[in-house]
Amino acid sequence: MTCDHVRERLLDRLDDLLDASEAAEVDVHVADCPPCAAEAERLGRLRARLATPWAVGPAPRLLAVRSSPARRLAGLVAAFAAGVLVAGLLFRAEPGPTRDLRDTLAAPPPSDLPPGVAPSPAAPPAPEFALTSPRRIR
Amino acid sequence: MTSGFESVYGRYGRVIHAYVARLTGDPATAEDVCQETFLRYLAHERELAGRNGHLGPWLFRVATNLGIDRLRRIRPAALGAEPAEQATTAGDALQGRETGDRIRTEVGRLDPDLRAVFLLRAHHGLTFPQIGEVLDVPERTAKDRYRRARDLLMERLGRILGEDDR
Repeated sequence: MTCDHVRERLLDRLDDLLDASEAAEVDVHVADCPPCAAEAERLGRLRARLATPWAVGPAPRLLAVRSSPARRLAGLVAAFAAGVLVAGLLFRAEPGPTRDLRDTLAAPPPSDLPPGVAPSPAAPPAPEFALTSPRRIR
Repeated sequence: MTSGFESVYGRYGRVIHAYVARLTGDPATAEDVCQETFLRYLAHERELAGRNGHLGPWLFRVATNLGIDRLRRIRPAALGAEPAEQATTAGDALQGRETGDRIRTEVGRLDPDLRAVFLLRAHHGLTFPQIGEVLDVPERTAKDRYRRARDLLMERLGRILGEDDR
């Protein structure tokens, strides 16, 4: 691969968009070409900068869920509404960055909590991630 | 059920909300979409029971569909989120803030389908097969959308990002 050829593919390489053989060719060239290696590092910094998440406000607080099946949906709506209002009045910024979605999706299933116990952050992620057949839910 | 729902919301609520907040660019819309997502979960709770490991993708799929629907119907209000930049000098802080604002603005200019893929990949670290399953598109489509989003952002922001790199 020529340097021009490699530089056209550096971002795709960094983003894991190349197939295995093309990725390997880029890696071999970069390992032996200081200018291309420097360009790869520069693009890596730009890419990291671009991918930095910006802070957002806290999620609505869930205050209560009625246990009666007939009223739980209405009760949940009311609880959400109250939660939003409370979150606005008693604002507490969420500390730290947003949890990595990959971690959340891979985490073990949540267990039932005793009544009155507030939900806690999810457990550390499990290694596997799998999905069922996709279905568009409306 | 109630404690189970609390557990689900406790586990997924923050991530769903953060994702939707960045997808829609509007705090009020994000709260609406987040709440609607979990209301739909509640409505489908029985059929979702036992899909513990697959609940996350289902929630994000619903949140994405709802968020994109809202985006296509309304134009988001001014992006209210503050950039997460931290700096040691006033000059760095100003430049970092300006760059962060520009990034947020340009991500907000992306077509919603491209924006969703970019956020899922860049902010949340999903692989392309995972993104394809969440968005119900082939992996190849997820990759193509991400590449288009990235190239647009680099084209619009490359200069300002490069200035920060000096």
